[in-house]
Amino acid sequence: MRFKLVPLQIVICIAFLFSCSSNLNFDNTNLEIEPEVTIPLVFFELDQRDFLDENDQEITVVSDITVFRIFDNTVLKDNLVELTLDFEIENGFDRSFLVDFVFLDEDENITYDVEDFSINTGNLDYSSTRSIVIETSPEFLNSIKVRVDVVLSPSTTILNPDIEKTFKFRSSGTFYLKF
Amino acid sequence: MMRKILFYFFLLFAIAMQAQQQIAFSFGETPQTLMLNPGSETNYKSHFGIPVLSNFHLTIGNTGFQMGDLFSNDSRPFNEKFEKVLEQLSPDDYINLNTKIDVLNFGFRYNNKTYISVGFYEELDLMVYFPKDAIEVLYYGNNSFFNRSFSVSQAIMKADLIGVLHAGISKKIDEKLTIGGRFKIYSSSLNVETNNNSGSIVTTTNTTNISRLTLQNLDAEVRTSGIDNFTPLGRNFGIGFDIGLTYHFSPQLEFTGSILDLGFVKYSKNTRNFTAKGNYVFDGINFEHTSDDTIDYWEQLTNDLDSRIPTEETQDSYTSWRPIKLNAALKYSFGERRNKFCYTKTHKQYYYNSIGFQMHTIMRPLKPQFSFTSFYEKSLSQKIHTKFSHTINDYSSTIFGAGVSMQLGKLNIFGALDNVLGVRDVSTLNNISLNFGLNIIID
Repeated sequence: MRFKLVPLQIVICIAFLFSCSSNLNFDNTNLEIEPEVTIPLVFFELDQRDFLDENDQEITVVSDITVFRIFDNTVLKDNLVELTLDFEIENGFDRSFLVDFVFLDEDENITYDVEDFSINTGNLDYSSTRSIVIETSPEFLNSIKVRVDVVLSPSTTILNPDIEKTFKFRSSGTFYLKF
Repeated sequence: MMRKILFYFFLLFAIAMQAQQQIAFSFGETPQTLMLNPGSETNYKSHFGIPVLSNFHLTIGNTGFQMGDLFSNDSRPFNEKFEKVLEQLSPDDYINLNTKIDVLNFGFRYNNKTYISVGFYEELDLMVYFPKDAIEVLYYGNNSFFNRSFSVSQAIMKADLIGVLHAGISKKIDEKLTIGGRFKIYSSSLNVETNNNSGSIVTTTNTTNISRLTLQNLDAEVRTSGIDNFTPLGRNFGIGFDIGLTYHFSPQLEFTGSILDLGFVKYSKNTRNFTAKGNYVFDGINFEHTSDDTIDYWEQLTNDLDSRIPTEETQDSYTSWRPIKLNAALKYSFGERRNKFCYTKTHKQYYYNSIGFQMHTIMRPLKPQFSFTSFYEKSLSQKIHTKFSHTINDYSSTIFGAGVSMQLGKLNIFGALDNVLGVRDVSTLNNISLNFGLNIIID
């Protein structure tokens, strides 16, 4: 009797093992990876002395420049969709300013010029966000330097280096990537 | 490209398995049993494994999610499924891939009480814990996670490709007790491991600049061997041993236990180790507006980073312990008895039915991996033995397994599959274990 049952038991076992019922779909596997990466960019602080030369004559434009080789990283360069730039400026001066934030290539040709900021006298709480969309500004990806020009607007108010007044500039960038 | 890599990475994880060999342990008197317990009873004269087919074992497990979580056939976008899986993942979740191929395996009886077995097998073992923080920061970026600290310590993995030359002895002390041991020489072709890392990265708001990146207490190390100069026969050696026993409390009640891979590999050749250590606070580039136009802020930044977080590559030697495995089983046999004609021309009594419990543990970098199994063994005839098991472990509490050992003339065929339900309904699959062997056994 036992031996008669053997084939049946084996059949049941095999059926149990291989009766797959799958409700899976491997076609719908389009994973969009869109990280948003924030990094601090340039910051600086200027006082009235920075806008006067050795003869106490006003310097109209104070600027500085740096190399930034982030686009040497092809992962970033090839997958960047948009860069938003956040700016915060505190102007403690009794003067107004224009700030120009420009990206340059190796030969210092402009690759992207962020629209100038106009900072009124005594504005301690200026903030602005600007966006660079790669699709419309592809040359931005050739950027290798960034320069910030702080332009002192003409005024009848004279700078006095003995009075503590500061101009603070802060910036941060958020890189929108898509893989 | 990266999307594809991530996809295949997760597909592999989704079908991944487990290094549990519940079914083969203490099941029948086959060479597979002897490899899992050198102190198991042998009642045959000799055995010869069919080269390469003597024993093939594959196990993949993933504690993080099931196939259906990612690939269910519904209208939800894949990203939504992925994000749900990611949300549910814990840093304790892991995937494990283990495969073992017996290249050579044979054994012979030295005398009535002593059986000797020798062989060579290749084993690949991969254990990766899900670094949840790192996956989240790669997937989402840091912009939505100001003030959240991302941990580096979650990066834990170990990959080994090892050839094992072994010789074991099983000795019957008396009717009740059989003990055994196996000496192993490991030759490792490939090893990549990292654990005990520390550190965190956090993005915060700040008064110096709008945002600040802080890397705190970073202390990370990755040890590797064989990633450049891979050789199938490894040049790094180690030793280890297995011990085991079988004890009969009564003819019907049997205890079996073993400790496997008590050993290490010393890596001194082809090693490349990478370390990074330090603290760094990054506020951006501070324009100083000096008249000196030659300041290279970028160079200053990279130099500062290098000096505060020095990264180093060394060829130092290191020792890697093998993952120790513990097995124990208690089996009660009952029902109709049968006699087995043994090599000694004596008869050994067997029962047609057994029930029992067994426990399997592997020491892993983060914590031991436990499995508890209850089983039922049924001999369908003197030549066909079956085993059905139910296992609870990290992967699931509903792992049902089935194994069969058949004697066709002198050829023993052994096959076992763990997680039958997972194979039946692939959407619930997160672990599977296969074991297959062909051996010639001479009574």
